[in-house]
Amino acid sequence: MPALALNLGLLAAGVLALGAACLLGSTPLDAHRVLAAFLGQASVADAIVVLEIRLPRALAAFAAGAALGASGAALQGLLRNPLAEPGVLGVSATASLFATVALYYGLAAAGAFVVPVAAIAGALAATALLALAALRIRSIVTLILVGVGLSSFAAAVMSLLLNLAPNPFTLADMINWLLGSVANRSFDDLGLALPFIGAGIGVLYVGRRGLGILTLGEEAAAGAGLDLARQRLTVVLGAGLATGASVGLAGAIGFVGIVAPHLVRPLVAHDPAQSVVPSALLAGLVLVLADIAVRLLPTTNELKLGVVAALLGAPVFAWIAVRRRTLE
Amino acid sequence: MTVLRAEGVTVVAGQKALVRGASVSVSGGELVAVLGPNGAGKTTLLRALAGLIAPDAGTVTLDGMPVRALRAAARARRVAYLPQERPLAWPSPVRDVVALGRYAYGAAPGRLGAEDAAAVAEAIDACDLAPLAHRPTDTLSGGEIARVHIARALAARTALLLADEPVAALDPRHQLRVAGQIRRYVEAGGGALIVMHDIELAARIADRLVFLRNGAIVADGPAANILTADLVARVYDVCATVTVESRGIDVRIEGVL
Repeated sequence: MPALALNLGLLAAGVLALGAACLLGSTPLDAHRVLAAFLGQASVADAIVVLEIRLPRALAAFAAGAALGASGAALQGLLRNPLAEPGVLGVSATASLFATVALYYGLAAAGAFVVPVAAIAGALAATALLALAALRIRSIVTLILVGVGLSSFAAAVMSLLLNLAPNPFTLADMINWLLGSVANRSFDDLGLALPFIGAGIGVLYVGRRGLGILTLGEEAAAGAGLDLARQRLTVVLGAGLATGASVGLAGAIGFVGIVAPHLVRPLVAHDPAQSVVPSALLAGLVLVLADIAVRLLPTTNELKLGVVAALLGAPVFAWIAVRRRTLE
Repeated sequence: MTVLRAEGVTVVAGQKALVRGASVSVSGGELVAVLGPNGAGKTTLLRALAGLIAPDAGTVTLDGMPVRALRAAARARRVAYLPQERPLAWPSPVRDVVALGRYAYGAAPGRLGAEDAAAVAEAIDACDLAPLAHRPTDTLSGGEIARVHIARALAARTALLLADEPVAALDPRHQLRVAGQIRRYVEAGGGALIVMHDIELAARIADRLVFLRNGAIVADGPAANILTADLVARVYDVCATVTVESRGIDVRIEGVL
């Protein structure tokens, strides 16, 4: 079964990348000391570097990527367009906006859960809005443009908040959401995000078969026995939860949700149903590798993961758009 | 035998009645062709029969049960529907598209049970698609794609088939091939109701013709009984001659009325 082999291969590569993320960094550690840290036999300093700094950071990159990859694959299946993705459709931007509003008004002081929950609420609001628009708008391209509009609007409001930021600390916090980063993430942050990311990917996994039949178009899919309303709700809920929690954890990281499904699709015979899991695994892997690169690059300020993802992903987005052969 | 029946069906969109008071039925072993000018309400009638839209008046029943009361998958296991617009979002291999016909049985291209695989193989053979089975659909011609869609509908092994212009935009040879596939499905006990534009072809392959104009059914019966120059003139606003010949019915459109 090629899909299974693909998933296992990607999973193995992901585990290797997580291992590499624990090895590499500004403090040189060899494999022996990293292994010792995992086994509880390392020095306190080594244990802190590996278990409290590098591992949660790498896991955060993987989880955020997996959430975006699965959401991208599912949104592309639902909207039958390879350019659909949480970033392009404004889902990530709306989630960041809600998180930024929570930071701006100091709501984050109420508890660590406030920012992730705000991000999830923003993502769900955006996906629900898109799904409602999809009921009225027949053209997928128009729908994507609605998403682009949503994205621009969220970015505009965010710029306004930055403009009006009451103090430099709030400003720095908000810029973090804007740029996207997994630096300084702890297991506590992961603990808040993982249940939502897990639930979101789980919902998308359960609803993946309906994405396959949508290959035929909505009319034929409905005729072939798909409950369209339920399918839309499933993807809205799954992508909203996963993307929102991903933004809550790592800020807005664009394009990985486009690139991963695009690379995976030819390997699963272009079946959207079989793209969800490998897209999640590949996007997780890509972000772990990108985050290693961010940490190793000798720049004065550490580059933000979202910046690197956009620098690599945006040209790929344009390339996919240009090369797209449409069958419609 | 499965019977799909519309009685007094009216479908309104805004101020306009797309279909008004239409009563029509299709059952196993018969091929019904629905004809009429553009905008006559053929597609809307078909969608109402398929249970995809709720009529504003009248009923659509499948073996006496309201078709909209059935769950989507349960309905799709008994009635296959082939819409007019058939966009394929991804360049999937032919076999996978045909396998999507098994959706209502809980199958998917990546996981087909023994019965699903048998139904897919049979549909591929019936439509002569075996040599193309692994080709991506974006490399096929229009005629080949049309056969893939028919195969997808046949793979569902439903008692009834509703198809909206399955032979439109095909060259004569492919029209006959696709029509032949639908005819064979009917000979094997299936019931088909298909929207067509070619009156002669419809008269040749269908057991019954149903003519729609402005949303209302104006004639329903075997071609030999109902197809006259007067009917063609009334339905299409064209001047025509209809001659019955040994090899079929000859319809000649002579001009606009």
